[in-house]
Amino acid sequence: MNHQPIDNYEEKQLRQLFRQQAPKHIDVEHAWQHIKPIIQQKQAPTKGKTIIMFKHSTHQHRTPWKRIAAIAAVAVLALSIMAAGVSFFGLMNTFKDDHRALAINQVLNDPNMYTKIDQTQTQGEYTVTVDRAYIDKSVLMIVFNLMKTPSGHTAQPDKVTINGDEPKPQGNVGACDASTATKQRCMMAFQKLPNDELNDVVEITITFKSLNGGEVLTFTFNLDVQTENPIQDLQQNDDPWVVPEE
Amino acid sequence: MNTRSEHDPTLIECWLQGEEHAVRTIFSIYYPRAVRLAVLNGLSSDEAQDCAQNAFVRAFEKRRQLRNTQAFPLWFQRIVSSQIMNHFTATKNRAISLTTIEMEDIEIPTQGATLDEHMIVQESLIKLNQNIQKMSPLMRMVLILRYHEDLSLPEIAHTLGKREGAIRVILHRALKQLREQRQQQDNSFQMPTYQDSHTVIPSTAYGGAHKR
Repeated sequence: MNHQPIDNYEEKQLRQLFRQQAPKHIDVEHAWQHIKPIIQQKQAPTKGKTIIMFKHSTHQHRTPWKRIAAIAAVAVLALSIMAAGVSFFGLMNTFKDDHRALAINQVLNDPNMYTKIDQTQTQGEYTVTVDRAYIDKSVLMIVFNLMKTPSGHTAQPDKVTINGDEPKPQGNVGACDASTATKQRCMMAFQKLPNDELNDVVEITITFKSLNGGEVLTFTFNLDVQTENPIQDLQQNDDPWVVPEE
Repeated sequence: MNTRSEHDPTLIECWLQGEEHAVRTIFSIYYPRAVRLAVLNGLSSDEAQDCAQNAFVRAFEKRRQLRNTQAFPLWFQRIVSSQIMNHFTATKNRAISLTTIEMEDIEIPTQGATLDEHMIVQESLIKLNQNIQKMSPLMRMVLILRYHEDLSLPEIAHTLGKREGAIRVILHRALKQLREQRQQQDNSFQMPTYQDSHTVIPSTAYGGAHKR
């Protein structure tokens, strides 16, 4: 630690000042008697922090709290980012679902887009009429009515196949509304099967399940559907938030 | 009690082993240095002793981290400096208080100096001390390590955990600041009277540090 600095006036004065101000008499023995039992407790070296508060100490060991605060802050930040992400994607999905539902609703209410089918089949107390349909490269949509006699039990759609395969429902569209006590109007949309060629004639099978104990009814229709005006064009060019009146 | 030199290579080894006589000897050598460093940095007598004791206990706890026994003085200096800087952080860098001394405690710097010459020197030291107290804790610590502990710039940098260039800049700014303040005060200098200096001369009266 020995070196020979080039002193100027301030440096000489600093040395003199510190020499004057440094305490001359320090009671080492008294301090040792105080610290000796603490040292004896520490014979085994430890890695952890030790909190020792001396009588006059104003020094708070704040490092553990700082660390906890930092970890908590990072955790809160991470949770906030995750929550923001979940909210964003949830909002986007909701928007997409709503968008899709509105677009489907718009298609099936626009005579220029859907194909009028009007095919009817009856089995026992139930009559199914496929009213209209729409098909393009990615989606198949149908609107049909289910009517029953007043004595018949209520039934609901259980399964739909397109050309023998079961498609995946598209969005959240698939509900049936009971127009009257004996009539339900259903509007359903499905993702078109990826390997299914775009034929105008589609065989669609609708299976109904009676709610009184499992009576199953199956109706099969061959639909001759126009494939013009794909829905993608509609979504790009029209305002999906505007629902046209029938 | 202090029968062995601080340069005895086996002393630190024995301290590392936790042998009481070595711990006691190391304490008697380094504890006063730590207290002086803390007092010069502006801690009160009790605070300085707590700080020094805390540093010693901490060094003893972490002694396995000391790889080179030759580096013990600087390693311990680093722990003490860290404790002092933490103290200022914990107390929000509060202003340190000046203490007064009696006239008879003042050192006579030059034999044969007249009372007037002596008073002029003391007056300049008082102003220098006041200017140092206005500095940041880090700047004050650098000055003390440099001009009281006689550490080189790399040693100060190691002690404070900073780069040598940063220490050089801090030291340069501190000296420049002191020089400018002295020149400003010289321009408005008035010869002090005996009564003036009797009441404002700063601390050399640590007075024995009788703790508890």
